[in-house]
Amino acid sequence: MSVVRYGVWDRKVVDTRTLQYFEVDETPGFEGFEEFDPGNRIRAFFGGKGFFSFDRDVDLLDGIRNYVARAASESCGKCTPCRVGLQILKQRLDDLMEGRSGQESFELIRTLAEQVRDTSLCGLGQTATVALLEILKYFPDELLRRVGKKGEEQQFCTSYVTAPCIEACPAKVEVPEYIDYIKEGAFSHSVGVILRKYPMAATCGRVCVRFCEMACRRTMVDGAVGIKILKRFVADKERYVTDKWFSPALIKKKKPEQLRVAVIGAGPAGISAAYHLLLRGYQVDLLEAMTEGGGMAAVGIPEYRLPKGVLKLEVSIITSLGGRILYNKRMGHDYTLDDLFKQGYKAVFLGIGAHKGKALEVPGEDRSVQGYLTGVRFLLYINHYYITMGLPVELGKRVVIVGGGNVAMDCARSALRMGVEEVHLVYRRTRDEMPADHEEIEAAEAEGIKFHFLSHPTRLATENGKVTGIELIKMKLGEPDAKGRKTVLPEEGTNWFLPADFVVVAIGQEVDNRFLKGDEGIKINRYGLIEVDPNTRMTTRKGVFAGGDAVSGPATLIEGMSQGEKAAAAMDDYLDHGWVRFNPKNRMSQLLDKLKDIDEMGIRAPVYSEYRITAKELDPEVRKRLFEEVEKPITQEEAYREANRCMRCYRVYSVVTER
Amino acid sequence: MEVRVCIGDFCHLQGSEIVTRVFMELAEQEQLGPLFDFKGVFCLGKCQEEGVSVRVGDRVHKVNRDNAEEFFREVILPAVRAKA
Repeated sequence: MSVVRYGVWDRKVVDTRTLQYFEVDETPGFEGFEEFDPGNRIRAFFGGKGFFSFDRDVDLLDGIRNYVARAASESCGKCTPCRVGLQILKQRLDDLMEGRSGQESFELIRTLAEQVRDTSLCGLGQTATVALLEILKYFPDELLRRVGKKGEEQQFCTSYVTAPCIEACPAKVEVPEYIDYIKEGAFSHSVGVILRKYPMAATCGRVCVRFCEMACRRTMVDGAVGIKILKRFVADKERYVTDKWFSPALIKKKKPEQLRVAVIGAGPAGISAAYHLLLRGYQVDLLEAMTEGGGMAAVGIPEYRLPKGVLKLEVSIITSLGGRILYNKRMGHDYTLDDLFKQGYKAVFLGIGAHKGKALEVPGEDRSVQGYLTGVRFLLYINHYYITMGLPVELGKRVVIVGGGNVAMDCARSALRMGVEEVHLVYRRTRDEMPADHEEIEAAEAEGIKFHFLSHPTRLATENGKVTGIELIKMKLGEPDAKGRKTVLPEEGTNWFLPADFVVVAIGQEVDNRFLKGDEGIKINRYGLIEVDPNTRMTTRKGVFAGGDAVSGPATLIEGMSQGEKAAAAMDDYLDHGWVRFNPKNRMSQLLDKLKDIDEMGIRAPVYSEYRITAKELDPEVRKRLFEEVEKPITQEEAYREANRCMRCYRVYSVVTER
Repeated sequence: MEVRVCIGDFCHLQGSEIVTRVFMELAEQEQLGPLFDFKGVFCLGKCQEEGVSVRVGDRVHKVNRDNAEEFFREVILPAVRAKA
């Protein structure tokens, strides 16, 4: 039970110090704050909105001193209040701890803290003294009773620096840091920040779904910072896939040769896992069922959004680092998990993806009829046969795509580029509820795709084994469900027919787990996904880890890469120690997620409206028949302007724990 | 001459990719140019039979990776030249 004994958070003061534990109810909003790691109680928490203590005996002076010291060490030095002010504050708090000053210095500390808060240029300085000011205002007695008592009791403190964009990113990429380097023109440093997390910077700069931009606080001023286009700019500019960046010689600590690791699936999760394992010094073999690397990014994302050359170059980082990629190796067909362990691999990562398209399950639907395909197969074949091999593909005059996600958009826009005269897209809800990126929807509309909203298939019409069209029924929106999403209901008697030569069903994917059923020891959950321990990423079979779409269900490139990175860290621990160690950064991130603080932070910076740069695009009339990349890169000048829109919403958090 | 190779699921697994590559390479060697109207299609309705479905004109044949070159020389090439 999390009982706040005293504290101030977001200007709300709590003080239950005079009561006994049993007299106080659990404080709402602090559920899950009981322990930092198993058996290690959280005693106090400091952040950008204040602080709270779960323990009457915590040394608040020591806690706030550590918090301010961490903030001071993170100051970029650009503005004096933060750079100098935080250092002086740290010194003043040291003086209090060592008894060189007393209550008489509180006023000076307060004035200084207010100046740092009110005049710093970015989020770090603006929030670093909030907790200290609240302590001075409401609980000065707690500071006073610790004056001159340094070292009487040992306290354990863990701090964490983050920002809303960093927290929103599944891979926790240090977005403000790489944007800072762009401002300074230090492009190689900027790419280096991204490469700490994953190797596919140019790919991510083109196709990321941008959780970071959704969380960007600049939205409250004029519009989110163009983080994705900045990433693409710096990745393209630096052309970093060279021997200078990636070579086995650059890996300082090599692991013993017998510690070989197999990674199954060269998709985003597998590539990321292999990359981090190679950097940790392991010998890695990547086994891929297809003839090219990149997984869903290679087969599921069309050339006009992600040119093959870009992805291929980034996949080659694995071989540049000394890893091997073995193509045409299909699990369950060419080898089994048992075979891999017999061959001497000590750990295996399963990143097999979710490549099996879901069916509509309506009368007439038969995967063997001519003119019917699921979305992922459609994209796979278009990418493979047309883009890679140059074979034109005949689809007929009219194609109907069913679905409202990014895969459906990719199918529709690709069909248009295959010379189809009319492409129709059928979605059972309205445009506002479409899960696809809004930019993708707008692009599809501009290219002439015909949308049919609130329409749902009821029958696939075929004649002589060939698709002739699809029967649809009108839908209406109903009451919101438990998740707040409006339900959809069919309107009886509103059936209508849409003739088609080809129907593509892009309503989701699932894991093709047939080869895992049996004696492989891998548990599959009721959703058909591989079950893993959320902390260790290990499956139900010892030494076998998993990540990516096969674990989470169809997700995004960045989520896949993030899971690959986490699994690599867990595999390293497992191979080094036999168990997976506790990760304090992940735990801090979990605590912030519970607190939801990071989402609610307002804007206090004196910023002026400067609208975001948008990348130029090929004209819709021209591009709709071409697979040439639609989005064009921005210039260096535009990148500099865009980078300067970042408000550096950094925040420092720290916890005081029992050990 | 209209030649269509099936690139549907079944034929893909049976080796459409290799058959396609063989046909394209031979067509280039023989300098057939636009006389060889070669495209991929999704299913020619012969999934129940082994091999990759290839339609030459109106007739659907079954081809595999081993006899692709032979098929090209014996069936496709004469048909294209006859049409020319």
